[in-house]
Amino acid sequence: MDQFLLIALNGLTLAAVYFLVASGLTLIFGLMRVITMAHGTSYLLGGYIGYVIARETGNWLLGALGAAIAVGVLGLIIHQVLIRRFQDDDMRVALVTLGVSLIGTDLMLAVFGGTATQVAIPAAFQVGLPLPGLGSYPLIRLLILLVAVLVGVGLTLFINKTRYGSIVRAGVDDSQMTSATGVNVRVVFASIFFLGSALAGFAGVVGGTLFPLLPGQDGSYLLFSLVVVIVGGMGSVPGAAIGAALVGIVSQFALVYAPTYSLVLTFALMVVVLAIRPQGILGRRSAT
Amino acid sequence: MMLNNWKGLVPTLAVGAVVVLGVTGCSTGGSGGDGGGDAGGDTIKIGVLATSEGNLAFGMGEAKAAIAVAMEAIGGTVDGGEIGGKSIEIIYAGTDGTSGSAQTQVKKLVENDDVDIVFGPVSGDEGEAVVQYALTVPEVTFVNGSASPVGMTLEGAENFFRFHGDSAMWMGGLGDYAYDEKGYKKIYSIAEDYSFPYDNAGGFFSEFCAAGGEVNGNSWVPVGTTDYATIIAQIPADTDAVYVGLGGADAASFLSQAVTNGVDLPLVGGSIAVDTTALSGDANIASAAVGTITGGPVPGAGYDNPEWQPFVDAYVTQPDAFPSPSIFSILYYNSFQSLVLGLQEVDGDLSDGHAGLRDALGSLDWNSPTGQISMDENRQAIVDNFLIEVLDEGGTLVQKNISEASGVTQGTTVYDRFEGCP
Repeated sequence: MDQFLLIALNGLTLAAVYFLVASGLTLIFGLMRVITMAHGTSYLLGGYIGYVIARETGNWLLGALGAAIAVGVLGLIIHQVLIRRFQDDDMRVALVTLGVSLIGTDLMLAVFGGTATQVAIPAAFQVGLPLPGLGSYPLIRLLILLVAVLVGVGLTLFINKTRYGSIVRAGVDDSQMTSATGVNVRVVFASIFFLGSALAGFAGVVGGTLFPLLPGQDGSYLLFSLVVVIVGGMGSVPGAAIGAALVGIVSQFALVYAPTYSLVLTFALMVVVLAIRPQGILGRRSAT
Repeated sequence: MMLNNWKGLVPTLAVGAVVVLGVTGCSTGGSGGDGGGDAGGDTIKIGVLATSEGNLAFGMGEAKAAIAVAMEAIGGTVDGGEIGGKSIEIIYAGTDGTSGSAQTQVKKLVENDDVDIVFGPVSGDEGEAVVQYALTVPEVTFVNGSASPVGMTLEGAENFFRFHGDSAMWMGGLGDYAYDEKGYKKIYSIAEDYSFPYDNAGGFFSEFCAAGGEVNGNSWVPVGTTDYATIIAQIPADTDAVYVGLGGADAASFLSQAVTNGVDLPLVGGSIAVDTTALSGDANIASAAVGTITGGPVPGAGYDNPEWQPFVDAYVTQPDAFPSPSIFSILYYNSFQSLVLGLQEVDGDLSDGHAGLRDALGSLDWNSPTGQISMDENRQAIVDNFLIEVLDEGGTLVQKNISEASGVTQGTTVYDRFEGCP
């Protein structure tokens, strides 16, 4: 039973990282319907930027903030220069962002090399916290879970409860009508692209604290966050949270009980969910 | 209009994903080409396979550093030079460490770039794929890079040469040392699920079990596993030591999480677990690595072969070199230098289906930086091997030689995935 709880908790804390990456994608891909293949690249770049800042200043928070802003601004530039004019041409956007991600991956390999690096945290956080029934559990994983919950709640409230959030949703559903009411839809979309990219950069720092940063992580995180967004339901932040929890828990249990098939089972989860609920667990039926 | 075209989204996504997979090396290779280079020409083309992505992404840098050391010694560069009046052209092809990508790239080198000699690859699964391919193109000569599954030189490929030990040979003596000297009775095994760790762990555990030791659990994890918290939780309480059959980023992840998860058991490392490639990452892993014993082709501090230090000095001047040569640069250097010696012996003459070159390679006997290298009848090297312990000397990690064995020959046991003792 202890074992079961421990694996479940490991799955949830891993899910926290997946959720943070996927929350950005759920804005860009799920909500705005822009197919970005560069989201994993944003994750890895954010991790590397956070790593450099944290190493130079010794301040993890500064690293996380710096990475979020830098990757957010870069995402904004990519959106304005490369994506905006083709935004309604899915195939072109996918290929453009794919190109960006391939170039970015090679540039990062050239600059940061092929060995694993990790974002440093103060030694005070590298301790175990006694949990009833589980013994000692790494404090850092619990903190990351907490951060993910805060981001998730904040994002849900922002999209569903604020005026700006409703403008975003209106803009996505009918951009012409929303423009007609006097809203500058272009600015709204640009800001969401900034936020989505910034979240990916922030997730890179959080993920890079727990796991290594190295070439190839960009591809895996793109894939996992796509699975999370699709399983959870396009554009739904609570859906992404549920999707991330499912993916995290399935992958951790699979690692123990069927290690050879852990990747297969993770994707089987997506297949099963899509077969039963094509729109994802909390997804809306297609509007048109 | 825009944004709501949900129906078009899924196919686009699918195409995008396929393109991602294709570009990153999972697609099938190009076609055409007539195989084999122009044996009578004045240029010898050598195609180099090394990992440039994934868990072992540093492989290409290490391969280039090793090749540069060997080529610069004869007045050439990392991109080529001259041997016996023939000009040498070196072409590099990056892989992601999987057999699929190795297959694609080796075909590209042979069929599109028309190379005479293939040099590489890095990882075990890649090596097995390349040997299978070598059997189909007998006119090309293959010199292995660092791939070390036992079976590669037992496939009967007459055109395939390996100038270093296999991964079971690397563990020779470590099982007895762990049981007799360290007093470990029960060891838990955590290893990556592919051919190299099967042989590497198989070599260790067959000796350890024969000495009387017990394996109290195996976790075979997929390559690229970054989260080890759950695996660490599986280790039974009465375990004396943990065998770590992981490499590169996976090893670094495990070691750093062993620290945060409070593992205080001693470790027995597979041959690439406590290599400089794992230890040079920034992860805080020193406290986990200290006391680790391991075996392999990399000598520890205080090794007195006169060929060793000049190699290290030449290596560290290379761009992107690690503080000391990794297992990969050592194996790539020994193998490439063997190829250079073979080419020098025949003055670059590749006529008669490389017959002269292959004779020269098959009978090579030279003192490498890591000891004497000679060849057996399977074109597999007979080499020196080292047992190492990681010590903390005043805050820096030092890999100290416990013992060295010379003239280690290949066994014929090929290991597969095993539970308990192999």
